[in-house]
Order: sequence, then C-alpha cells, then structure tokens
Amino acid sequence: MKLNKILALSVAAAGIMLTACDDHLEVNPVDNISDSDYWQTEEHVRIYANGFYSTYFTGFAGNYGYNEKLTDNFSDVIQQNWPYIVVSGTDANYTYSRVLRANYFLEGVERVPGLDEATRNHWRGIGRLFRGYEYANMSFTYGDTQWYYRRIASTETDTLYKARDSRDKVVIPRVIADLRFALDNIRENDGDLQVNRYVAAAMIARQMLREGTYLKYHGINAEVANQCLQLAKEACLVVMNSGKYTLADDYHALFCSEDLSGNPEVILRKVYIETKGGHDVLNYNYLQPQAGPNRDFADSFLAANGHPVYENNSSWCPATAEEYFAGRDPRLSMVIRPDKYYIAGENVDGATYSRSGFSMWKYMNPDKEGSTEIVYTTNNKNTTDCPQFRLGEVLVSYAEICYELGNLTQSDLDKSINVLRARKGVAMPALQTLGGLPAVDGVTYDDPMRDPDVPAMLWELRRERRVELAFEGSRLDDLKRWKKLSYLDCNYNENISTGAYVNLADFPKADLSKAVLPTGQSVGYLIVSPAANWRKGPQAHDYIRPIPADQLQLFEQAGYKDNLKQNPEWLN
Amino acid sequence: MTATSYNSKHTLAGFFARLNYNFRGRYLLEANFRYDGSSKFPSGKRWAALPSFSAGWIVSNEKFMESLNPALSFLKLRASWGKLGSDRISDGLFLATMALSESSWIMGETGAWTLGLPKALANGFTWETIATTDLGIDLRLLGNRLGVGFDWYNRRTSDLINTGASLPSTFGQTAPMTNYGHLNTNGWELSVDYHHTFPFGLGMTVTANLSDAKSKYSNVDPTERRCDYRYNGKVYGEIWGYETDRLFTKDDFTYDADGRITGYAEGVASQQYLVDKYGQTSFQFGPGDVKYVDQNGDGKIDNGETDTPTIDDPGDMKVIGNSSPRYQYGGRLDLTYKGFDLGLFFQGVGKRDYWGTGQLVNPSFHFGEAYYKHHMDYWTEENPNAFYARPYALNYRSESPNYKRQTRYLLNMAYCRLKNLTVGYSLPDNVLKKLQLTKLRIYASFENLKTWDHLDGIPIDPEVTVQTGDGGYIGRSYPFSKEYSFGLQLTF
Repeated sequence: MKLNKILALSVAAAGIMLTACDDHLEVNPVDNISDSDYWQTEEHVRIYANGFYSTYFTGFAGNYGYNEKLTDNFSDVIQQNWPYIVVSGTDANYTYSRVLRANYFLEGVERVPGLDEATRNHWRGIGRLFRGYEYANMSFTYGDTQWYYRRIASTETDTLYKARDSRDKVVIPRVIADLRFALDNIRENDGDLQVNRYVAAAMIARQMLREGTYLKYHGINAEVANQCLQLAKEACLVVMNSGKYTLADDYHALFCSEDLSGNPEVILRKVYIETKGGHDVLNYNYLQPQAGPNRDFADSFLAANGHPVYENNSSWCPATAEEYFAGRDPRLSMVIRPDKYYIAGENVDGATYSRSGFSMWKYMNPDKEGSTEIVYTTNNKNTTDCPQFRLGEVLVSYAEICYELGNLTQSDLDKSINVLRARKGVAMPALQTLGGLPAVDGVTYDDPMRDPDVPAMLWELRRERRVELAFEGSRLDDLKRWKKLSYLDCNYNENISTGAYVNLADFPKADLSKAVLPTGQSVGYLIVSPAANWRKGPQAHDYIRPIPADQLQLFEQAGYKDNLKQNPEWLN
Repeated sequence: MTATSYNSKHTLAGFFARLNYNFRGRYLLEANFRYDGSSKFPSGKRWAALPSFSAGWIVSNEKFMESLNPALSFLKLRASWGKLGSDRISDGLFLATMALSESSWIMGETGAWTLGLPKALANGFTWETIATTDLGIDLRLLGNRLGVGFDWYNRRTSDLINTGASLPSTFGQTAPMTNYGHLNTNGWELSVDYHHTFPFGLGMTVTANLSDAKSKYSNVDPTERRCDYRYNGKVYGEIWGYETDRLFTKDDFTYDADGRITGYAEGVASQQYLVDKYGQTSFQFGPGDVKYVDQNGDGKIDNGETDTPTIDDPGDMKVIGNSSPRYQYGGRLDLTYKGFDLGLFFQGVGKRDYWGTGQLVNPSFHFGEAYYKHHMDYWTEENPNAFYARPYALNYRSESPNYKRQTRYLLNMAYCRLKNLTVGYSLPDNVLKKLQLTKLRIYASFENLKTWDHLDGIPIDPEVTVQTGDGGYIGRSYPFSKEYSFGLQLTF
C-alpha cells in the first residue's frame, strides 16, 4: 500500500516535472528573425527586396573593360576559350534559388497586413520583375526551365522533378506577363537607389530585346519573339517619353565619375565606397599591361563624316596614331587613349603598355591620370560609380527593336540613334534611312566590312550599339542573340587577333617580345594573338550551357529520367 | 553604425536512474536509464529514452578457479550494451530563421541590409543515438605480473542529423535537416602489461596497446550513388582517385613530320578529358606526364558518362586508399637499475593514406613557383625514371592534369615515432642523507626524437594533416617539434 502510494506520487511528480521541463526546452533565438514573425510592415518588404539588388545590379563586377575578352572587342595573347568544353559535373549558377527568392518575396507581400492596393501592387510588381528577369536569364543560359509560381516543399517530389517547360511556349509568355505587370504597377519614384518604373523599364527592355532576337535568329518562335520585342519597345518608350532622362553632355564622364547622382542620363547607378570594397576597373585597365582592344573593334568606329572607314577606300591604313584617331567618331578617343600607341618599352611608366597598341581609356578619368590616391591605384578600392542602366542603352536598343519589328522609320532614328549622335562632344552626322538603306546627308552607303548575312541598315544599328556600349559587358550576349559567335573566330575575322598598324622605326625602344609583327617585318599590324593561340571556331553548344551532370543523375535516380534531358547541343 | 550579435542559448533537461547489483563480488549487474530533452529539437521530438546495461562475471572469484591461482590470478568477463544521445547541432535549426546580411548594394555608408531565405524545414529531426555493444575480457597471469585486456565493440550511430537526401536544384536551397543514415563501426582494443624484477636488480615494466576500427555507412537514401557522398556501404574515410600506371614515354604518342605530338599511340587511353574539363588548354600530354590506368577499358580516362563518378559508373576512378588511421598502437618500456632509470614511449599508426595538395607535395603548384629540394627528382629526357612528372607551369593552381588524385602521389602516412625518451639517475638514499635531501635526480628527456615513416623525404609530419586555416593545403601547420630538455629534481 505504502509502496503503491510512493509510486503513484512519483509518477505524478515526474509528469509535472516533464511538463515544466518542456516549457524550459522552448527556446526561441533572440538574434534571429523567423519567417513567421517577419512580413509585418512595408519596411520589411523593402529590406527583403534589397537582396535582389546585390544579385542583379552587380556594377563593374560584370564583363566591363578588359573582361570583354570573350568578344570581338578585346584580344588576348592566348585567346580566351569557350567556357564550356565538356558537360560540367556541377554548376553553381544552375540553381532556382533566385526564382525561389522572388516567389517567397511575392508570398511575403501578400502576408503584410494593411497595405493599400497600389502599395501592394508596387511590391508585387517588384517581385514579378525579378522573377521575370531571372527566368529570362535562366532561359538565355540553359534553354527550357522548370517554371514555379511558388515555393515548393521538399516533399513535393513530383513538382521538384517536373518536366522542363518550353522556353518559348510556356516560360517566356509567363516572363512577359510578369514584366508587363511590373511595368504597369511599379511606382514612378521610390527614392534614390531604389527600383522605380524607369529602372524596371530599362531592365525589361534589355531582357526582352535579348530574348526576342534570340528566339528570332535561332528560329525558335517568331510569334513570341515579336511579343518580346513589342514589350521591349513599350519599355523603351516609357523611359524615352518620361521626360526625366536626357543624354549626359560628357560621354566619357559617364564611366569615370566618382558620383553619378546628378547625371541626367543615368537611370540607376551603383555606388562604390572605399570602406566597403570598391571595384578594380581602373586598376586592371590602366595600371597593368593589357593585350588590348583589337583592330576590328577600333576600325568599326565611323569616320567623322558618318561613313565607314573602309568605304571606297579598302586600303585605308593610317601610318600613325595621330592620323588614326583624327577625323573619327569622337567616342573612339574616349574609349581608347588617342595620344599615342602604347607600345611595350616605349611608354613612360613601363607597365601600362598594350600589345595591340590600343590602350583602354573609357573608365579612366583623364584628370586623374597618374594620381597616387588609393582609389585610383589599389585593386578593389576604385570607387567610380557604375552606370548600371542609362538612357544611351535604351536608345540604341530602341532603334534595333524597331528594326527587328520591321518598321524602323526616320522618326524612330531621330529619337534614338540621332540623339546619341547629336550628343555634345560626339556631334556625328545623323543616320538616315533611304529605302531601307543607311544614308548620311542623303547618300546611301554600304560598309565593305559588312557581314553579308546582315542587311546594311541593321549592320549600322549594330555598329552603333557596339560603339555606344563598348566594353560595358553586353557584347557577348549580343553576339549570341544574333547567332554571330562566328565573329569570335579568327579564321573568319583575323582582325580580332591584331592591333594597331605601326612602323617600328617610330618606336626605337619597343620591346619586340611584346610588340610583335610578322616575322621579318618592321611595318604592319601588331600581332596580339598568334595563330597557334586562336580559339577554335564556335560550335552550336557555345550558345547554351549544358545541364550539369549531377542534376541529370538526380532526376534519373529519383525515377524522373524523362523530365530532365541534356540540351541537344550537348549530346555527343 | 552597425552592431553584430552572436547570441545563442539552448537548454537541456535530463532524468537519470541507476540500478547496481553485486553478488558476492562475482556477478555484477548495472542498469542505467536516461531520459534526456534538448531545446535543439522541435516540439514533440525533444525527448529521448536512453537505457544502458552491463554485466560482469569475475570468474576468478569462483571456488572452482582457486586451483589456477597464481598462474591465473584474475579473470573477468564483461558485456555491455548502451545507448547515448547526441545533440551535436546548432541551436534553433528547426526554426525557419532568416539570416540578416549586409548586401553589396551601397546606400549611404553601408550596404543595404537584407535577409536570406527562411531555412527549409521538413518533418523535423530528433536525437542521434549511439548504441554501443562491448564484449571484454580482463586477465592477470603469472602471479599478477602479466595483464591482458581485450575488447571487441560495435558502435552504431543511428539517425545521423544531416541534410536529407539530395534534392534537385529546382528546390532552390539547402535540403532540410533530418535524421538520415547510420554509421556502423566495428573495432577492437588489446592491451598488455608486464612487470618483472630480475634478481640482479633490473626492474622492467612494459605496456602496449593496439586498436583498430572500421566504419561503414548504411540506411542512407538508396538513390545516393555519388562516390564523394555517403552511399550505402561507403567505408568512412575512403579516397577515390585514379590508379597511376607510370609516366608516359615517347612511344605512347604519335607524331607528325615536324615531331609535334598528334595523338595517342595505338592502345594508349586518351587523357584529353583531364585537359578539357579543367580548361588547361595550353597543356598537352606528352612524354614525362602521368599515365593513368583505363579501369573500364573504354579507351579514355574520365569520370564516367555523367562526369560525376558514381558507384555504378565511376569512370576510371576507384577507391585508392583510406584516410582513417588503422592499427593505432602505443608502447612504453620502463627500466630501472640501481638509481638509473630509462623510459621509452613509442606511438604509431599501422596504415593510413592521405591525399595532400599544396606546394609541398605538388611541384609547380602555383604559377612560376620554385621547386623544393625534394622535388628535384622530376622527369627529363635524361631522367626518365623520375618520381615527379615533367615540370609544367600552369596558369591555375591545383588543376594540373599530372597531379589528379591518384595512387602515385598518394601519401602513406603510416609511421612509428619515439615520442619520448627519458634517462635519469637518482642519488642513493645514503648519499642523500648526508646531503640532508629527500631526493635528487638528474635527467634528460627527448620528445619526438625519431620518426620512421614512408614519406621519402617530403617534409611533412605524418602525425599532422591539414588543419583549420591551412586553406586545404598540407604542410602549412607546425609539425611536432623535437624537444630536448635536461633537468634536476631536488626535494628537501
């Protein structure tokens, strides 16, 4: 009896203690934010949205300046090879984390209590802008993708392993819907350094021009290509008709200013400060030897009269730098240092030579040349602002979009290309369209260097884009969407492997190991990349990345083999 | 201004009960019961019941054993089984927390602050349990002078807490944590001690121990097939790599009229994959480079169809070694004779492989880096039987096609080390008395005096592998130093 009582009491006591202990074991972290507590105010939404900025607005971390090695603008001694030669085992970029982030953001926006409809629609627009932007990137990079409107739980196996959605039939139409919603609903002004309607429009124009022309030139889907281009045109007009942006008076200053905040051309700038790590566009382009911008690039700048340099003059070959830069599109002298050819052994400080003789100039402030300030001399300490989106890009895109839509008019040219050509300090003759052919001062012309596949007018629009956006990182994507990676093949265009035309007698101190001419010659075009170092010609698979092998394997092992197949370009 | 906080808090609760039973010094029984709770697990999965039992039988205390004494003075048989819990994980992992971070989007004087995705959660997870079964025997023989102990054990770590089965990239974030897989270890330990004093005054004590264990994974997701992940049957510590055949010779290639290499000779597997995959476009295999064995006989060296070695299709990879130390041993010998004493302590590992990278083991690891003295046996036409391959300056480190994970440059980390040697002399009592001292001993002690290894002159310490902060490169941590000390002990 007594023992029973003790036992009963013990069990009761243990029961009470266990309950008490369970409370004791309920510990909530004091310095962590939980999903369940977040999404209370608009400020929470804004803070979460900041995460998109560092992902997509990467400033000079993109292919600026010498990083355009895998283009026909810049040469290298050993030409940069195609980045994917075999199917990669893993690929850190092949992730849906950025899609997930946008989808989670969209869920969060719905959870915030008390937002009025316009506010909620602005933030829905931001979420859909970045989701659409991301899917446009994924489509451009990998082709078909899996579309998700929401977060997927780890247990939803069928959904995680679902089949890829068609790029042109499913994904891009949804991207268009997302981006259109964004364009219609994002605020006109949401404060400095925040995405507003015009930033969104510039982003949309960039993505939709790229996707539209890709679908067109790769023969994938003409109808959806047209829809992309229509939206791109609309987005350009949102910026152009806003009256909020005008071209900067100084083209060069767009790329070498410490502060772009007052610049009327800049739609969104990325700010750098020394204490938080700057960039190295200045250092890598001025303080170190470079292989340099190549001959093909430099030759593509028009003469000051608006005509191509080789037109009616196939033997055009200025003997000195002075003659080469004189009488050219003034932007040439703002992209490449015009005072002389920077030959190894010849220039004053020794380190800043260029193997092509052409030394990049676009990102250096001429007033700061030779400065010893840390922000001009130290890697990751350069602090010039980056013009992440600017009116100039919108204008060149607009003209190309109009052309691709099949209705480029003189009026279209006059509000785009000709605005750029009339920029203070550029002052190039206006481009005219006469019976669909390019013309200056009422006279049509044709560039003898033109790719015969490309109509003369389109060739001029593409030239204007290459010149205006030189070394701003868009060239490789442009060549891919035009299906023109062949321009990167020296067997097709040897001029991308050479530089300036020099007479070594003018450069008595030249280091001949770094200022190379064909054997036995003392006059000629500098050889940057000898034939043995040329990259191989492009293959179909250089337009699209492979699906990483680990993903194919996961799908196979989980029994969904048919849902994820290697891109056909990457099958042997 | 920004401030950072690293606050963590967790709570534990436990109930504990023990029952001991001893019957006349012969039969021993013990039962333990734990009921542990931890705040690191989600509600409903916080508590774990963890019992353990042990039994011993001191056979030598039985009447029928008395006749064997002193030849067998002590014999004990032991058996035990017990479960323990482990909550070796961070706090709050079951909560959908969002990491706060400063982004690179500069606004004002700082980056704009933002939050990461909430952690993915599934059905939660609970304690890892470690169940150990041990069978042992203790013996003392020859009038207590010789002792032998032997244990065999099995340790099964169940429900390892880890990210679950791999999820496809479409999931978009790290898979949720769950209890997943077992690690099964079988091992044994043997110890021997022997004490003897010889009639002429020499005292000797020898102790030695030897142990070994091997662990294998089981019960993991059967779809996990990657060689570098945990798959069913994976031996803990195994190293996958290529088997090295030899260095290439001239005859392994074909040449054009100018003597330039055009391809591989008949019957020689192409290794071009190793060049392409790692983008070493300027590298071309030639005489003096490493020739790997074409395990699957498909005429090329690669990592299988999917480029990711799996146990079903490992390409030309295979298990080339194991980094777990096996046959670990130690031994002490102490001798005393008329005031003199000598002590030796050895320690070693019988078998251990290690794949090291870094400039100490890979010549020309960095572009333009000088060769160390021990690298000088490299291939040239005059030195075709060299150990190291043809020198080649790569653009990028550690991607040399010659120094892929392989048998030729796998380090054999087995060693035996004289960890300590001490000699001393103590003055006899009669002298001490005169000096009015209790003790006076002079001694010399040597640490890490001598090491026997199989590293053939590569200057790394077989007892030290890559440590935190070495960047993954071997030979960057301090080796054990040799220390000589001389001393005088005085007691008044």
